[in-house]
Amino acid sequence: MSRWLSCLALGVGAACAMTPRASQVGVDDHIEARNTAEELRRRAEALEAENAGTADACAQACPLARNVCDLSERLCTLAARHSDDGELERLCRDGRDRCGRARDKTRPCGCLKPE
Amino acid sequence: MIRRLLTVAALAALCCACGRAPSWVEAARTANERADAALLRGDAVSALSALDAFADAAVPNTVARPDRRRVLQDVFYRLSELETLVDARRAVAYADRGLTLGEHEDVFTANLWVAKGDALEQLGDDSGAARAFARALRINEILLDATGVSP
Repeated sequence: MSRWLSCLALGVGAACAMTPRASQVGVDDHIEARNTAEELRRRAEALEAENAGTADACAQACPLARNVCDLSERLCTLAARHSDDGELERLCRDGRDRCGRARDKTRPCGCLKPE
Repeated sequence: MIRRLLTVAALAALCCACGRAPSWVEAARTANERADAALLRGDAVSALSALDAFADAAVPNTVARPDRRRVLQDVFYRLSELETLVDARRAVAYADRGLTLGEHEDVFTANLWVAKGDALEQLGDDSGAARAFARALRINEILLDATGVSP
């Protein structure tokens, strides 16, 4: 503490911080190790929270993506019954595109098999 | 087949009006439970009757409009799906009654479009069914986007 006060009095705090005395090294290493451990713990907690958030999002997203693809299949089943109907053909193609995008979006969740 | 994402029981938990109109929400739950029990016995007529009676009952003024819409749309969806194999025209009418309450980009509106599509397909109106399924598909896609999941 007295070392910091004398450094501050001299107005060279930054320089002092970079030139610790030999006896201070062990204490500083200990503090640094503790700070690193604390930082790692914070990061682990943040990662855990992020994973939990992803799991929640996937729990919501997967049934919706399945619905998109199920409905796309139904559209194409209807279109297949009327090969001369351009509107049904367009709705089928559009549905397949949207299903493909739903698959891409939910790839991190692993709930829909890739085509 | 599209899944029911919310049941009235879950809806009741979300319902803002519960404190003000618990008896109406309770009646919705009871009607659904009676319908479930009837279906387990293979009695679709009693299931329809339980849900139909609830749908026709007056809604207390204390029920907030969004809650009224969601609860009734869920009931009309169920009525429509149950009626599809018995009388597809009535099934279309139930889906339309639900949609008349207001279309939103939510699961209740999407379910009604699916129910209407099922009924129209049963009636042989494949174009109408496809248009209804496409509406449901787009709502599901919007809801999927809202989850924030991305590759």
